Amino acid sequence: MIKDELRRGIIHENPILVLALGLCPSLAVSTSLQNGFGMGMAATFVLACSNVIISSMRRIIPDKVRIPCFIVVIAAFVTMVQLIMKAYLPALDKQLGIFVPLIVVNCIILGRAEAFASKNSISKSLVDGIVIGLGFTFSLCILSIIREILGSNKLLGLKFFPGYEPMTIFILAPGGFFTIAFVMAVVRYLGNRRKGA
Amino acid sequence: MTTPSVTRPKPDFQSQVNDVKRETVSLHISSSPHIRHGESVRGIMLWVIAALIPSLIASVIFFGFQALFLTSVSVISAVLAEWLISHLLKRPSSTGDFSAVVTGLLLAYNVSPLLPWWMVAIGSVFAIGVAKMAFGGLGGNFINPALAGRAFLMASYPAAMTSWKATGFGSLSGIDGITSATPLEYFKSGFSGENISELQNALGNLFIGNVGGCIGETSVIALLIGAMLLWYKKIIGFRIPLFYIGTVFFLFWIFNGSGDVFSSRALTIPLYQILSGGLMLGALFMATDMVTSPITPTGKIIFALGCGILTFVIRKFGGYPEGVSYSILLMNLFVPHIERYTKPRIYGEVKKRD
Amino acid sequence: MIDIIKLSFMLTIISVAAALLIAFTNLKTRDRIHEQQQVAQQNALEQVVPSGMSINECNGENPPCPQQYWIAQDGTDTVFIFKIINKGYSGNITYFVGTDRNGSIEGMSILEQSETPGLGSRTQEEISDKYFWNGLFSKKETGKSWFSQQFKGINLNEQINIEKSVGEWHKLGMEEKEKLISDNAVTAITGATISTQAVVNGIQDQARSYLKAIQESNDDQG
Repeated sequence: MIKDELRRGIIHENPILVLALGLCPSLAVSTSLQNGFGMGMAATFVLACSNVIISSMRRIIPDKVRIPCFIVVIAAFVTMVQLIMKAYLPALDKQLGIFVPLIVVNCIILGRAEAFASKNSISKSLVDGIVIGLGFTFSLCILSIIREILGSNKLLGLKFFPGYEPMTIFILAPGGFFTIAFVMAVVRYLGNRRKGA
Repeated sequence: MTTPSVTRPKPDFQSQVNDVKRETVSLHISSSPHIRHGESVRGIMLWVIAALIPSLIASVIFFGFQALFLTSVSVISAVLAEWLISHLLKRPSSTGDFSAVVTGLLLAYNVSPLLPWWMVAIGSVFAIGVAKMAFGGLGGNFINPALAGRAFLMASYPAAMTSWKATGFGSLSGIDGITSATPLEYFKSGFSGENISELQNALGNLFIGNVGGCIGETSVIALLIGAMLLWYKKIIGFRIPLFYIGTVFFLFWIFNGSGDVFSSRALTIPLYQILSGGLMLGALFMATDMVTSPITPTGKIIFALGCGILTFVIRKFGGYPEGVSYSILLMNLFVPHIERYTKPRIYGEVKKRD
Repeated sequence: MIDIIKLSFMLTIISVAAALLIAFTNLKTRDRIHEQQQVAQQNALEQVVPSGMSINECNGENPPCPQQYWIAQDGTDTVFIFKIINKGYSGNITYFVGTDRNGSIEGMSILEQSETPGLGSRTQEEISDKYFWNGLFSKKETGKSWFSQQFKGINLNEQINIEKSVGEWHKLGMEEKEKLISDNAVTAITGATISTQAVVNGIQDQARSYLKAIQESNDDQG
């Protein structure tokens, strides 16, 4: 059950690589593994919390104003995450800078609230938030490992290959697009091959 | 051709039927166009390669055998990349049409002679692998692969891509006292606006190519010789080069910085501008790329004007001294739209009223 | 009509609940955040001057003088430290610049910035020589970022140039670094020229006039 759910979040419904959601924050924060992982975990926390709250209120929230309600709930959690990060993880807060507030408009979170949490039970929504968040974190980590190694020859701020001249383009936006495109292509190729077999 | 011979006996009915049957079996049905021409992709590419040879010779004269070495690395890695990718994707190998050789040559012509060889190889692999093969191979690419490779290298290794080599004959830009700049870098940062005679003295060196710059872009005369060949073979047209270079000349003539358009200064600056940097190489060989430029005559003119204006804007106001490659790349993206709006009307069709 | 009232009532309830939640978190984290900021500011100040100098806070009186600046003293050496806030690529960059009486920069350190991670945020990047496989579990060294190190020795009373063609400072050899200082130039962060320009402009526009104002007011008094 847990295995199936994890597989769903990380592989079959991977938010970035399969659903192609949340590409903007992915491009921006996947320049280094530390940033990618930090952003992924922050988004996972917000996603799980907002899914639970929205699911528990799904019978009270009027249909007509559901989107504003979702946004208010999500924004509140993002602000909390930001304050907590400032207080207890100042180093990460320094690095992620402007991207934490942007979680509010990350379409993955609003998307899950709309598509899943507002229709399913609390426990299911919590699991969905966690697995989708982990899928987001997982793909951000893959992208950022590739980009950090190729673009600045580092991993977690430490040198990687001796004597390799980094290709700056990979930490710029075009390199981000190339990386996402090629990782997506590989994922689809593997998926198709599995289906064919 | 089968012309019925006079002595042939009149065939009986049965044999006529047999003939028709046989004919029917061997009939080849295809959609238009029906007229075959001896011209092939391979033939065109071979002529383009021939047209690029004079510049290669000029670059060896000015920059030494390092230029030849880099060009070979670029060509070999481009061909290998194309072969490998078509092999991996199980497509019919397209290395036989020599288009990868042209891409490799043009990419090498667009880099500094001091670039490490492996950077050129990476650029070639990117040009072929990402800009060309990922979009379906020759004819499917929407931007010029060689320029995409150059842009990739420019963004990846900005320092290495902008360190220049002096030519074998004295000072780098042909202007005394400048040792580490291309003519355009000098114009952008060193030229004060008063010593116009320095620019005038440099024009000769610019024309023969005795200046710093990318491998194949410096020698205007060699590029023109190659272009003549292509014009003679009707492989490239006059519209794109003329309008591209003309636009750059015109804009630098009008906006020459003095407000006076009839002084010697007003003519020196645009001449200096069109002879230096990659303008000639770009306008003659890369903006005219058949795949990535418009096919309609009006479209070609619009495309060339756009390239010219962008080049002027980047050279005059941008952060980079040179803007030819970026302006061609940007205009490549507009080609589908240009073609859509310049499509000739079908004969006899009435123009729709708005 | 009833519907609208009901909808707005629900929305209000949810908003109020959210606001209460944020207020509660703010209450719980406020002191801690303030503490962290003080620590960060103290660390940044200490990075500007050579270790061992005592740093004292001063208050400027007249408008051209900064409201708040610091003086570090060690025997006869005096270093003035100014807090500079300048607009970067996204949001403000806040940083300290320490300079001697002649305008020669003693040190620089970035306190806060919200530049693009991986590009402009590299103003705070520290370069480690360790490789991934043996450096991951060893203790991380904390030092100054290469970007701020290159400002030492630059004179802020003269034009500070930004060198884009030689690559980044930490990759250069001794001779090239000395040449940069003699050219009064700093290297740009690749892909983040605007952030580099913002830091340099802030030094040139603000620190220069602060230094002048303080010296003039000192001359008046003495």
